[in-house]
Amino acid sequence: MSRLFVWKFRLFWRSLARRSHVAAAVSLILAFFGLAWMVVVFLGSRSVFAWTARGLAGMPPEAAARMPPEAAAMFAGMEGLLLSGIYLVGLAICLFTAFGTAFVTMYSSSDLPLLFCAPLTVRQVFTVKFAEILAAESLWVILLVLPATLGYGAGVGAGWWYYPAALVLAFITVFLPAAVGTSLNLLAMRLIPPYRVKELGAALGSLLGAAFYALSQLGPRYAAGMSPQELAHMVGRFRLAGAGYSPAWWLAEAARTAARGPADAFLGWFGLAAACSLVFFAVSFVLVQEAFYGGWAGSGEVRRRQRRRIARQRRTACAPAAAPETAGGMADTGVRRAPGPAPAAAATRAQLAHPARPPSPVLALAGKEVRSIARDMREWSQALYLVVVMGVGLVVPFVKGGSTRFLAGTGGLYAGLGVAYLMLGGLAGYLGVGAVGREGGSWPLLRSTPVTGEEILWGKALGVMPLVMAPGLALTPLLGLALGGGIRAVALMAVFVLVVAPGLASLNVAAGALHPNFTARDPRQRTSGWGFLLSLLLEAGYAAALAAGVWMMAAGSWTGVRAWLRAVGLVIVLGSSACAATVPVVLAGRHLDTREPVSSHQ
Amino acid sequence: MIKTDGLCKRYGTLTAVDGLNLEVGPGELFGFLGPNGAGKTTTIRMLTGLLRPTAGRVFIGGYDVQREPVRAKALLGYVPDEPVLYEKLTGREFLTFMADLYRVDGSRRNERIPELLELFGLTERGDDLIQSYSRGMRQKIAVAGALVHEPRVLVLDEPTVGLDPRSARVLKDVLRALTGRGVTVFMSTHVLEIAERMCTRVGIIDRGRLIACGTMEELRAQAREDSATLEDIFLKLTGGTEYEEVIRLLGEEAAS
Repeated sequence: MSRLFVWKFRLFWRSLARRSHVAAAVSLILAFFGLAWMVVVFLGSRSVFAWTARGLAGMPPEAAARMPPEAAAMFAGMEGLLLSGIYLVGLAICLFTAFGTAFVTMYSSSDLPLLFCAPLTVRQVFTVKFAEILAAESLWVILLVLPATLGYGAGVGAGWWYYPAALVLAFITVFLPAAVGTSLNLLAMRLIPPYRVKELGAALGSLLGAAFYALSQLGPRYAAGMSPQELAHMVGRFRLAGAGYSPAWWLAEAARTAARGPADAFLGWFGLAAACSLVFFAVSFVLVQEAFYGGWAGSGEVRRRQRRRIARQRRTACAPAAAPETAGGMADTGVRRAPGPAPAAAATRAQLAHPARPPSPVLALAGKEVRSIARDMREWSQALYLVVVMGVGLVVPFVKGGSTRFLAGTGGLYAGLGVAYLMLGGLAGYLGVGAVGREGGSWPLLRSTPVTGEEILWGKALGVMPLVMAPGLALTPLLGLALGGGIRAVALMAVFVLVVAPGLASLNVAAGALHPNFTARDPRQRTSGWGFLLSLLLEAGYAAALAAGVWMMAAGSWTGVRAWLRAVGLVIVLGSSACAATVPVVLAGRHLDTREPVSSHQ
Repeated sequence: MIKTDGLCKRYGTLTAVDGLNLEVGPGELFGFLGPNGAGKTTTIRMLTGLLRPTAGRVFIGGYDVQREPVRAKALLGYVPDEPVLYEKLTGREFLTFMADLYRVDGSRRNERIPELLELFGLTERGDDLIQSYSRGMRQKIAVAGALVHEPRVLVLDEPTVGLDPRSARVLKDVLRALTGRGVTVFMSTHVLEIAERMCTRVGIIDRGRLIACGTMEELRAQAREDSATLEDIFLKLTGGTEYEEVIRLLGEEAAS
């Protein structure tokens, strides 16, 4: 195993050393910045902890007198809170990234088949792989936790033996999340089939990213409107880092006792954190054997399939008595049947599941589109990410003093309609422009069927429409209420969504049909730049027509001499929406039929 | 049922298919053979309307594939060489989708799909996502998808790749049964034993040109070897016998 370690280290070193001059120079510059960053963190941490060490006594008397009791109590425990905050950040970052690193290293690594065929035990392979995870995760701790905790020691004037203790605690900060991440990964391997793990990881990343973005944008705006008492109260409610059951707190206490307290107290806190790490390490040690040799990986999926099979068999047993075998089909091909349920019974079951309806290629394509997107966690999580980022990005400029209620007046309503259009346009752009390219390798199969280009695009547009309309109808009223609009404003925004969503879906699907690259492995690269540009231009043109129509409707009235203005505005809004929903699809469908269905290298 | 008339396909200066004249009648199982890069897949793609010929025409059931693509394609079932299918549909949903694309009547579709799933041993996995299927299962569901609308012409590009012995046997039986009912099967394959045993006629394409075409007896006569296998004929016509001496020497070295 030691030879394996040497080889792994040699490969790692080669990945750093055997580079072009430019790459080596970039690495050196990055290393220099990393070192500078560590020095800055060390100095900053030393100053902050030197200040907190002086406590309230170090503050000007009038400032100390003005401080509310909650804030004074918080200030008194600030050293422990800050220290546990540092460890919490380190642990959280490591845990977040360790899950992905453990997946790549333990599950989808290309050298695993090679290592398992070699005369090595699972434990040896696991130990090497775990060391790889530790090496990958240690960067965060080296850049953040280690300089900050060394700065703490310097700030409070700790003895020499604090520094090796801080190094050991930094190692625990990597070891614990790596062990937890590996255990969770191995558990996930059982529950989630291998082909969905990457999808789930990408979806979780998108959802967490959306939540983080919303918090980072809206949080400070709302916090800006709070008094010091409210802020102190809120911080007190979220003192997770200071909870007695938090490993961050154990590590912080270990660091504090190493700096100031008795050695046995340090050993107690350190032992607690180390024992917790070892428990998770042992769990993953046991699980990994099952995962790779015991049929653990994907066994959850096997159980689910068994349950589904039993449920199907029960349904078949409950289905009406099977009719005599029908003529035609396989019955007259003379092919021997495989053992299994009678086809007539299966046909009855299928009829229950899919009642006979007239065949429609357009509806079939629309249904396929809805299923493909709704079942792909990456697709809907990225769509949600887009909606959150756009929604927050559009609303944040209007947030003043923690209030978003700017929709009360008529001008606010138009701003709300604009926000709704941009959000719907973004969503339709994401789902629609990639609709044709999403076919990828299955495009030749689709084009070999008796379906015209126009039918394909109608199917795709009809499939994208509900996916744009449904979140639009769900989110727009919420947005309207959050922005302070009344029932009338919310109803108008919902009607607006119903009117514009079909047009936005259709024109984006049509734009995406402009020279997609079906061979690109990454689905995001299957849409041509021209297609994306065309979608933006079409959306802008549609927005201009809608804006003109809405302005004329607002300027006119239902009765009197200006009634014609409102009528013309209504005609423009409805006419442009009808054109946006139909004309691009027809034109792009003809374009698809005139060009060669597949490229030579497809 | 299949007729090509001076079919050509050029990519710049490269001629992939050069003046292909071919006629395959109803009930025939036509094997289309050739070395890698000979133009088999390009020909198949022109037959199925996926590629536009540079010159010449293709007729399926009397319909010009370029002028009346929808009518021609309605008669056609196609199994591509690489079964890239819709990952997020279940096997059953995929067959329903294909049936709808070919406008198969609802009640007929509901009879046909369980039959096909059962025939290819996919009933148990019919409600699982295609994403979870192995290569062989994908190939089977692709073949089932091509059969769901009871095509008059079936075009298969390397259909037995990835199939287990049982499914390969089922496919061969299905193809024989279909040709017995008058369905035309056009199949490209590298498994020469299958072509020799199953096909009523065989065409060999090399560098875009059809260099031999006919029944096994006709091919033997063309190759002037009375007892030759299809493999012998294929290698004689397309090259490959020149390596026999090197292989013999390698064998002698290994033995010594």
